[in-house]
Amino acid sequence: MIRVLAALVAVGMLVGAFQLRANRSISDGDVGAPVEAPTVTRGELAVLCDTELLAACEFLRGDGVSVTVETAGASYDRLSRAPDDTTSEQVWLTLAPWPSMVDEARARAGLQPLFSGEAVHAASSPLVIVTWNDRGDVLDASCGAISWSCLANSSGELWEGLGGSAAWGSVKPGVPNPSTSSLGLAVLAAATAQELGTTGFGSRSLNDGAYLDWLSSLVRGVPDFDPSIGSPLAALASFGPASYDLVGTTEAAAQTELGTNVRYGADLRVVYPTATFADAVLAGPSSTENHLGDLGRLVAQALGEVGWHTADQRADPADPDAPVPSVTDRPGESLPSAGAMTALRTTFAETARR
Amino acid sequence: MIPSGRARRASRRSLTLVVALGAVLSACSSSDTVIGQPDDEADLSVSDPGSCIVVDMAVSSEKIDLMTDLARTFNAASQSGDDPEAFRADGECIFVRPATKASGGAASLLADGWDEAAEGPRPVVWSPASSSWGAIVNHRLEQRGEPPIVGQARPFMLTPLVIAMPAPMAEALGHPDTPIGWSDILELSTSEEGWAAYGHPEWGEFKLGKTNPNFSTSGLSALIAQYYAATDKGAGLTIEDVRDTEVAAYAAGIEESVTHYGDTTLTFLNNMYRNDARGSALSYASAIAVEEVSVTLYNRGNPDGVLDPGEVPEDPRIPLVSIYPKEGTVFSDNPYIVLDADWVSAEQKTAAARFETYLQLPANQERVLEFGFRPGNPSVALADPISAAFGVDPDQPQTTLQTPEPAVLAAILDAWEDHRKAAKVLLTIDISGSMGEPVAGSGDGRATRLDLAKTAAVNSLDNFRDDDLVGLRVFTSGIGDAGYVDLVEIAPMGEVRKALRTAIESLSPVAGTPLYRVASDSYLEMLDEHDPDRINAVVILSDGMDDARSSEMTLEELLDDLSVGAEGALSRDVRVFPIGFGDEADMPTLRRIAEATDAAAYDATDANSIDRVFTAVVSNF
Repeated sequence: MIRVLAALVAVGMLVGAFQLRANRSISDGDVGAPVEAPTVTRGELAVLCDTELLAACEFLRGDGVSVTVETAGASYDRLSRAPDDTTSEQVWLTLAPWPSMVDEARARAGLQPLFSGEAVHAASSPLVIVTWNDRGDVLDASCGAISWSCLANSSGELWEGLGGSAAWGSVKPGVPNPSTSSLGLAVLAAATAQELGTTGFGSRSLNDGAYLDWLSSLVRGVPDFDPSIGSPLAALASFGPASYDLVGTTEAAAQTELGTNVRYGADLRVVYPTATFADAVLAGPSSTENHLGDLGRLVAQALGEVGWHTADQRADPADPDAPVPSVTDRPGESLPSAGAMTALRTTFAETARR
Repeated sequence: MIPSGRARRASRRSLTLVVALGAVLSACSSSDTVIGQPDDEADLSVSDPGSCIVVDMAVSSEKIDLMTDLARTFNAASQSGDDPEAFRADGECIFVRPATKASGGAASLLADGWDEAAEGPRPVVWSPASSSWGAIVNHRLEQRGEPPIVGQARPFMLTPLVIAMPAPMAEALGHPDTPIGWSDILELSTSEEGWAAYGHPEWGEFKLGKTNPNFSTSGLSALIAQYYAATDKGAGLTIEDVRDTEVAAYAAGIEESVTHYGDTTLTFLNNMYRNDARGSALSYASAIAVEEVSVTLYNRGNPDGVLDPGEVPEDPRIPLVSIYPKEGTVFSDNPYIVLDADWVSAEQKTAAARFETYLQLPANQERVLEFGFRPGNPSVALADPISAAFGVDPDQPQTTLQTPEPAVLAAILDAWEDHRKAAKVLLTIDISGSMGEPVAGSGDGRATRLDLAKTAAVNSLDNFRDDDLVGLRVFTSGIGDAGYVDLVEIAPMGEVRKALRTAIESLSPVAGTPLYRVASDSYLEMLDEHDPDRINAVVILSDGMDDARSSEMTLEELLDDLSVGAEGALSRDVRVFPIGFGDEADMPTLRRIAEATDAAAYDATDANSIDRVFTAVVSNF
């Protein structure tokens, strides 16, 4: 009985909390700016949340939103084949351009798009490489500067041959699984774009023998795309250099991890190879458009608290050179097209299977 | 389930590989390290959780004491109502209830079905020694079309597999300046010169201690590392790799130097420590594959991690150093797995998450250090005993190895059965009159001690290869010239398997127990016919004390005989493994007999455990 009463009180508090948020001074059409928002019934919405954005997923769930968390890859595989009569007021919180990838796949299959509403861009975080200081010094000298190409090209090479210590074995890059992880695919896309010299690559480029050799070499050098601890970054932070030598991730994740890592934090550095960003977006059917702005603000708040850049943030006064993406001006431009990303995902999966 | 022998290996290959792996490993202990003292205080398992959300935990043995202590503190805080955000789930109190479960055993139960009547409550949280167990469970479920129940999990504490070596021996190989690995072990294992090649002929041949990978996580980790070293890979080990002839030769080469196997590294560590006290550590073993935590415990004078009442730890004369194989190694990461199973409710998951947050607090993680493990939370710096002063290098390891796919693990274990060092074993069974006593709680209650022993012995025969040499001796007063008779002479198992089975099954109890005489004569005969290419051993199963009239010798005389040929560079290893069977077995004496030959005594004073114990004994071969 006590639990039932407590549940009722909790629901009441959540509804009230949402009302309070809705009544904050928020301006229309601008994520993070004050605007007057309508009251929304929770039962009408369900949010499918990308595992790479867990902070936002938990925040929404704590706010009483119905949230399902799964990898972008699992969502893509399911949504790209879902029948047209699947009616769901479902919003997908993931990294761009995955919603477009789903709709393009559906179009190829003769299905109706799922994300006809205008997507809301909630937050961004630069893609970075986290590496050990000593290994970073060697790569800087070997590659000229640490880059996505450097990460990929040195994958599996003996450190001794690059000027490092024999005790380090071979170069072990860490990339989340591009087949399942939106972040992993973004990192691979950044590396591919740098290797091919353009973000405008297509499937023909990905079928080129030289590119496939390059990709195979990268894949072979990665010790584990799916470490049990959850991510290559988490493994690097817990197991030290034994696990990975350098990891592709977001600036937000890197700062969160390094900021609390007493054991290894001082031995690690964050490198910004290119101005490439992971963009967290909310996409849904047109019927959910009225809700996307509100959800976007909640997501921005949640992600902002863990280091993502949102529209209401400005450059760090202590570091004016720190990259500050213009969230509303640059949705998804830094990564290849949805079609190219889909082709890349397929190419990776085929290469990893060999 | 009992690990398969040759007969069962054939059927195992026809099963899905992961099911076979689980069956084989179900008897596997978790990490071999037992920490802490027996705790007689409030037993969490019987404490009343009241109306709190219960979080049952299945925990591998090396961390049960610490986990129980932390759970007790957490539960008290939860019930007090202080800081509900941290200690309650949606306002409800939480009761965390850890219970020991071997990693392999828990994996089998989670995959095949958890009988709560026999095994206790199904866990909400599972913390095995290694996250590879979780992958095995998911794979087995997937094979049956069931969804996975093990997701990602953070480590509670960490310890890597190392090669522990007495400091002088490690220095002879160039430690710490020269990286050492399995390739060096292989060279030493197959070298006829032994340590003479490194300027130390007085150390004799290279001797490696390594546990049975079917029983021990350390043994399995070492085997995985060997195969990676053989292939020069760090990830992506394949079945083809395992079956490659050069890789097979590499694996077999390392096994050549093994003194014996066994179900736990504690046997090696205790024997090493005892030899160290006698000044003979360097002739017992040159290297032992153990977890890093064991090195810190050994160097602090507590080789098995348990302080018996009155025991005062004394640092060894010759410390061990941790060699982190240059080819890479494996971490036991002790993950905290909140099971995504249909018996776990959302509120239990929330409650489990609260406890995990508590476990990861720096103050609690620092306690992990006290036990010699590395904290799972990297916000806690490494400190003593994870330091050079205790034989450990906090900057190591530099490379970890990817856990192979379950199918590859099964192939590795299959291959090990072919590559392991061959055995020469004399099974010696007590058939004195007392072996005819019925054992309470055994099936229909009418099975006698000998009935149970016969069943266990017959079951163990499948664990021997056809080329192992095995014989059967029985002892009781009044038979043969000295109170024992060889029913089956030592011969290749392939030739005598049926005869052994028949002979064992036909045993019946007779008279007295000439334990000392049969132990002495058996040992001396095996010593006389010592085969340097095999593990030479005598297994003695006895339910009682020596019958002086039958043996016509004292314990001291026996111990003197057992010291013959046992020391120095030219020692010939024959190990005596006594099994104390039934509540009248003289375990203290049997331990002295075992220790005299650097073996281990096995306790089956609960006669119903004889099947499991016999299996554990045979794991030494």
